[in-house]
Amino acid sequence: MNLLIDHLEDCSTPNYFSFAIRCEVCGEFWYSNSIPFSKAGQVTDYVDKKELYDVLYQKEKQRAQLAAAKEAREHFSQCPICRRLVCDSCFLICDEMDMCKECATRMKEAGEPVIP
Amino acid sequence: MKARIISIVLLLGLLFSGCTISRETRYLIVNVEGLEEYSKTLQDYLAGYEMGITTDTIYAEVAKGNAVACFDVQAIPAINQGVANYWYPHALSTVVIAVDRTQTDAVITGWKSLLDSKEIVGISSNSIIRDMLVMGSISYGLDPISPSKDDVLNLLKELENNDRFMLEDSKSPILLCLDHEVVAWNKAGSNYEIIVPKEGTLSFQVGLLSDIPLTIDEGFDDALLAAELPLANGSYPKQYPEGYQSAHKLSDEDYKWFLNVTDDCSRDLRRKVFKSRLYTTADLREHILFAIGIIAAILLWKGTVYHRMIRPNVSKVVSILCWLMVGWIMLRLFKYQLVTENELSRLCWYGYYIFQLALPVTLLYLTEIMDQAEDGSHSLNFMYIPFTIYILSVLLVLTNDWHQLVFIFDPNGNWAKDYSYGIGYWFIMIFFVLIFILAIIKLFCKGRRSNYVKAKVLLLLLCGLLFLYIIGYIYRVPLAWESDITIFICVIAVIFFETVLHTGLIPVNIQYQRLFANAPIGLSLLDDKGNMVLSSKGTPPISRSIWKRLCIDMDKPLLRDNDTQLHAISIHGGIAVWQENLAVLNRIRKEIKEVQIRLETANALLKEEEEVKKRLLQAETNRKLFEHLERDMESRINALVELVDGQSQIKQANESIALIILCLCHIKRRCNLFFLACQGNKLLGEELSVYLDELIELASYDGLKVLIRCGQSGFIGINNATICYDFAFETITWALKDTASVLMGYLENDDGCLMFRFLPGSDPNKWYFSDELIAGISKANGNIVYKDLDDAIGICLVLPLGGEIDG
Repeated sequence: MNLLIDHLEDCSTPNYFSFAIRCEVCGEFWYSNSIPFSKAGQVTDYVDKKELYDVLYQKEKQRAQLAAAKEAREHFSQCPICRRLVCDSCFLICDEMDMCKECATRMKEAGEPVIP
Repeated sequence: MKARIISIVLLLGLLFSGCTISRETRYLIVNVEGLEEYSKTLQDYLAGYEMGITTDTIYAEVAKGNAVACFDVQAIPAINQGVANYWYPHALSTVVIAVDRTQTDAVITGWKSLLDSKEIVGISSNSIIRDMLVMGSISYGLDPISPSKDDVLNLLKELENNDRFMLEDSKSPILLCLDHEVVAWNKAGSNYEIIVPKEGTLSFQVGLLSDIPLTIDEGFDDALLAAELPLANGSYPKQYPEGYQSAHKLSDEDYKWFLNVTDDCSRDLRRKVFKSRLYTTADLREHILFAIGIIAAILLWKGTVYHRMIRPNVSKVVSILCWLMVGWIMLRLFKYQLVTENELSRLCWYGYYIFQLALPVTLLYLTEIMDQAEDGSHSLNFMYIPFTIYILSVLLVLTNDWHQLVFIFDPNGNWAKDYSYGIGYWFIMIFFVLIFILAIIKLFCKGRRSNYVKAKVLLLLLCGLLFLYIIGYIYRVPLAWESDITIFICVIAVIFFETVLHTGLIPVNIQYQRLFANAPIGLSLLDDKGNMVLSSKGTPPISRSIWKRLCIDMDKPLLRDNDTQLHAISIHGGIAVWQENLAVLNRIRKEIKEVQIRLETANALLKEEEEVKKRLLQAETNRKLFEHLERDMESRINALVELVDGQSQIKQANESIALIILCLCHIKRRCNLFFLACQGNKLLGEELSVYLDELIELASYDGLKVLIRCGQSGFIGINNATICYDFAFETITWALKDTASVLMGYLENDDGCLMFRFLPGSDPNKWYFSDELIAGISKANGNIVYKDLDDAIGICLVLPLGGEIDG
């Protein structure tokens, strides 16, 4: 989970939280489900309230990050050979050991991708 | 969703309505012309049945449990096919030639003799079964062994070629009809001669067809004879000519050839005999099949248009146009199914105008929305006028039975054909022709940039053709009148719209898929569920996560990978996504970064080089400076060395020391002046005065009294100051050497020249100034002037002021 959290790239805006992870083999980004900020669009002139919103934003962002990491776990795997984080399209189920596409090519292993 | 619910409700309605046949009253149905007398007679002998009017085919009536009066050619094949169960033959009808002796004396003996006569031959009935009976009888008469349809058609064609054959005409002198009809006419006062063709004819049984057993009361045969109808067993009433007997009756084997000969008789009579309906449908089967085919074609075309249309609102209007055409044809099809011409069929006829009149209004609406924004912000207020006219016109047509302003006819007559147009019809036509013309003008105006001139001409031709057709139909020009107006207008409308789409008068993208496939920006269309609908060649599919993220925020582009950025825009029913290739941008960015690093490194190197060079230059400058200084001081130092070396020879030590000190002072101050010259500074007159005072003080150690007054205030050029200082030094030195006791000097600025005068206590003519000083004075355009002052000789240094050197 920590590995996923480390790899998450923040794509959030003031209105919603969204995180992305880049597959280290194909380079394609995966985006987490966007979670709207509970106070999105609410404008306040009061400094105290603004600060409160900022704190709330950070708190919700943290939660969204955890949720994104959990979600990413369903789509990403760590290659046991090269230790890279790869998407399901680039992660192959092989006979002996599952591994990423590039490692499989290097080791001349045949396998089926998790998502064809 | 709503459409599905409605469909289910309709299906259930149909299902349950089909399950509710439970009726007690049974009807005796007669729908064949010529059997009225038979049915009237039968009514009293068939208990439990009421006379009814058919609204369906005889077989449908039989299936409903009704008894149907018909001919054996209708009944026996139905029994054989299991359509009906019971057949009760009662009477006999023979097809004969009736010659009206009040009109003609022509000698008619048989079918072929009809060709020899000059009189018009007609078939009195307007029902198809009667035509079949006549055609079957003639074919049998012409060739009893193998009757053929061609023989009949050739005979009738020959009659028609001489304009001597009429259908549905009871006024002709020669009629092809049934024998009991002729007897009835004669009884009514006519004078027809019944001719049984010598070649032969057919006698058909008349009876009741039913699905259930029927009980006919006793005495029916007598009643038939009383009604002047021959019986099925061959008994004839006395009103028939003496010796009159039935002709050949069809056996079970005969029905086959009979049906073959008479099959499609209506169509064959129209096309092959009367040469009409050659290019349109001629019978019910063709009407139905052709209508279904056209409906299928319209719906298919609608489907293609839906995919080609760019704008959903225009596409919807074209869909409405298609449904109007389909509705019109369906209504027409429904009307064809009605067996009798009653109020319902008349209402159907009126109903055509709901669809027909809506077409030009919809076209006008289409031309109006074509070039306007899709958001509905445009004003369509003026469209209320044609819509109102449309509604009023439809109401006027639908209520025609009450006022007959649109169609004028006799409701009890043959209104389907014998009608004329009222004033309301002409008003409606004028309004809708104007609406149509307005729509066409708008269409052409809005599509004036289109280059398809030929297609535009074709459009105009189609419009012209449509107008000609409608005028022809109204004035009953046979070519138009005998065609199917619904089908014709619908086909023309489809061709018209297709041409409009091809000319670009209505914007469509015919090459939509090719456009997408070849779009260089990696364009993709996704439906509202994220499924790919269309995409450019080589565009990778959009993943679910990317699609979800795009749907949330389309304004913010997102990266598919480091080199691809996706942009999206919401469209009707989904989103359009296109990708921007950042590879080139990234490469340039990377190159810029590399160049920046290289430049920074080069800058650091250059800076270091500059420092080194600066240090080198400084050292070199110092070296040069000191070399220059050394050169400059060399003579003075040598002189000083000589002075020091020669000190032992000098008698007066004080004098030598004073000279040495004077030299050292001179060297020191010259060094000062040298550095000031190098810096390009000027020297203040007051400072020069201090320098001179220093020399004076040193000279005083040897007893020389020197008085120098410096009248020059302000800055003096460093070169002039140096010359003045050197001049003063050398003068004092000579004065010391001459052991003079007094020396007076005066430095002043006189008339643009710097004048440095000395009045020595000895003779200065023996003095020799150094070459360096003389060269310096010459270079400064100055000179040394000696002046004899009677008791003394003055020496004066003249240096011009100004110029480069002084400046």
